[in-house]
Amino acid sequence: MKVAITAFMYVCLSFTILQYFSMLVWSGLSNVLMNRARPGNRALTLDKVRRDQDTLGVSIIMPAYNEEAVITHTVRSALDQDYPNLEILVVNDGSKDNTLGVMIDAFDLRPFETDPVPGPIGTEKVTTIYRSSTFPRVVLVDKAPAGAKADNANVGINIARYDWIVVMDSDEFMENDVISRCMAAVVESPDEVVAVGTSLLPANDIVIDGSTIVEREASRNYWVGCQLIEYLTAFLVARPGLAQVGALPIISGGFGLFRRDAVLEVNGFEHGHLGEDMDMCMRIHKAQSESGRPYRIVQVPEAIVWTEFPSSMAILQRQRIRWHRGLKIIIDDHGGMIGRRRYGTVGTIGMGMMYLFEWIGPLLEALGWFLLTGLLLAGWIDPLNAFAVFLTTQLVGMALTTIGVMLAVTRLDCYRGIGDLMRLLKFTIFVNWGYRQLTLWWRIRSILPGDTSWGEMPRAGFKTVSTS
Amino acid sequence: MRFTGDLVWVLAGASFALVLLTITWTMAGRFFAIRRTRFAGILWRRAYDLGARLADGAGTEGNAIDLISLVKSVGDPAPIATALAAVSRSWGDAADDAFFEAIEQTTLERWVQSKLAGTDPLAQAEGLEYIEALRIQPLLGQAANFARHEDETVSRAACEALVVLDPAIAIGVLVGMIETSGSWVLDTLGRATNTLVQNPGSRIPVSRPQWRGAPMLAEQALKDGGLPDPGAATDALAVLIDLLDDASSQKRLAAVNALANTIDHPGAQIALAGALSAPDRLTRFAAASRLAQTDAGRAILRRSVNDDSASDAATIAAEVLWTGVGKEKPENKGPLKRSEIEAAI
Repeated sequence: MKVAITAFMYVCLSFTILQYFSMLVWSGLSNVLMNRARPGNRALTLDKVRRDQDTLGVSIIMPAYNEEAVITHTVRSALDQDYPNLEILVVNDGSKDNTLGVMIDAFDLRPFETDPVPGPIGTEKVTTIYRSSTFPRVVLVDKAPAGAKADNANVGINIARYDWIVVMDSDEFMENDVISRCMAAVVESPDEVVAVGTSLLPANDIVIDGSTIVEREASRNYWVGCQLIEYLTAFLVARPGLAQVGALPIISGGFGLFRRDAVLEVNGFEHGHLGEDMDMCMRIHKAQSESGRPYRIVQVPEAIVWTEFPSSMAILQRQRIRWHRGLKIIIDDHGGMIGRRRYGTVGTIGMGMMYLFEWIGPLLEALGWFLLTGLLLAGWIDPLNAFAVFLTTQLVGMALTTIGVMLAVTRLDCYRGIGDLMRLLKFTIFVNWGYRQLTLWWRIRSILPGDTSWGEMPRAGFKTVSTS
Repeated sequence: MRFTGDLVWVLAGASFALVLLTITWTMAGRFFAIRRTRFAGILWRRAYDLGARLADGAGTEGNAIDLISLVKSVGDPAPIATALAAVSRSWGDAADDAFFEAIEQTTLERWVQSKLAGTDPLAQAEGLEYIEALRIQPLLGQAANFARHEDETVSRAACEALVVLDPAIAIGVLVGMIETSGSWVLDTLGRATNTLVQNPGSRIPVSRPQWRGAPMLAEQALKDGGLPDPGAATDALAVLIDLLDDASSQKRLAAVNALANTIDHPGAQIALAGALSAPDRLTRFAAASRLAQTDAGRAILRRSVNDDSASDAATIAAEVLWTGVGKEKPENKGPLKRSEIEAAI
């Protein structure tokens, strides 16, 4: 009995070590692939995309609900893009604050159309469409409140005039080359690319001046810093490699570029889904695979979008519980793709890894820690051995997160200052010693029934030169 | 348990070594990334300044010599080539010949050739982009050889390079690819035809019946050092007109776009006027939409809408264009005169 329980504990924790180790191998592989492919990162293609006035048009859709603190900055960052052919659609979901007023004042919006004809995707009723008299590319759509980002995004998809759409949050700030980089990946194979993902980094510690970012530094806040390390590992280590083998299961809800007809084919975003971004990506994978058309979903890590991260434990906890519940729904909805030849690498590698490492992994890890503590207290395991097991999992985890940091300082133009690097390395320790165990607990808690609403995230707004 | 105990400590030691390794790698990576970026930035700036001076026609022989030695002095001239490409694209046809002559004397041609010689399709595509941007004429033959590459990115890059280097060759190659490649071929064909229409003295490499085998013929001709039968841009337009009846809607649409790009040619104008009465709705409306964008096209729409059997697309386009206060009226004949435009402003 004693041997069996001890062996089971070792199996559980070995799985965790194996998970990290496989990610380490994956990071090496993805780097080799990234270096070869460099999607959207070929200097001359990028230069050409920026200059070509007849290039493919892009509609940027920003669903907005109570975003008065940030919305004008986000729109300005879109206006400042170096891509020549854009329209910006802000979809106001009946905000209770002054989002509409702030937009009208900032861009001199005038009513352009009332009671427009409904689009191909069913949505709540659009009341008025406003157009800016100073920036003709800026459009605001005022609609009946639906309380769901999916509905707002679908309204934007209906109204968008271009074949390529970006769905992004309205509390984000884009580097001025984001759209060009994404579209450079598209023009490399326009018949195949259906969606493009970017890197998301914390806007909590950037300082902006008008539409320009004048300061980017790694956060000092514990919660933001730990999330930054997680995001670097996800966006620079895992996703580019998965995308390169056609197995990327998610385009972040924070920012995603899609071919409009591919989104219309799956009838837009699903209302009330807790993991609507991953759901959209999986439905596109499914529809494209089933049609037999060659297609690609690409990740461009060098395209950076800054978004506000939760900076307190309570908000972060709510977000993580919601994410994990969303993951459960995704696995229920799309689990049938796992291992099916028809769905290619996204079925085997993408969904397979997600099921094994994101769903089963946390359960085994929690069980492993629980057994280790129990065996230690019962005196069935040598304390030194227990410590060595603990140490191994933490160190392999640290090595993995450090690779994320390494890719950030070598591949991205931010966080290259020595102070930033030291802070990032400090957070690679914090994220593995305490933070990860806490998020593990939240994942376990998400399995228990509870509130599934999105809740409200108070916006601090961007730091500007005058406020900082 | 002894074995397990030893094993976990070995694993812990290995993991610790791994952490140290990744931290060292991160520090070194940062150092080299900063150095590389700075160096590339300096090279780019210097090459851009020299290139801009030469492209302006204000350069001296010394500038050309500096550029040549700058390329020679570095192992990887990518930042220099990128800067020169930026100059070439900014100045366009206005760039002075001295600029391209200086590029021809550098070792960039050899560097681009080494990219083409590899097996990595993305490096090859990059090489072809440099041929296009820097207009490396001596590599025209090699670019033509890549036009039928199995990788679409390489194939597209090769065709784009051909359009810039010699639109006549490009037409010959592209026409032979219409059946087998994506709609991008028609877009590129439209651009190549347009370039040729602007320069009526140019030739296309093969006559129409030979177009199916055009890529091979063009390739062979280049190898032999001469061009096959001379033709005319009208022949290329004829292919586009044929495609207006193609079964694929994507190809019909691309043909309309390609014809719209060559709207200055009477053949294209006649074809688009005819497309306003095409049997399928998509072609009709696409033609009307593209015609509405140019003076010559609007003149065609005016005449079409006055006809008793005007198509729905022409009628709607006319309504959109000419109804409302202060807008043009369909009874106007021909494009607006300069004095009319000035009066309207």
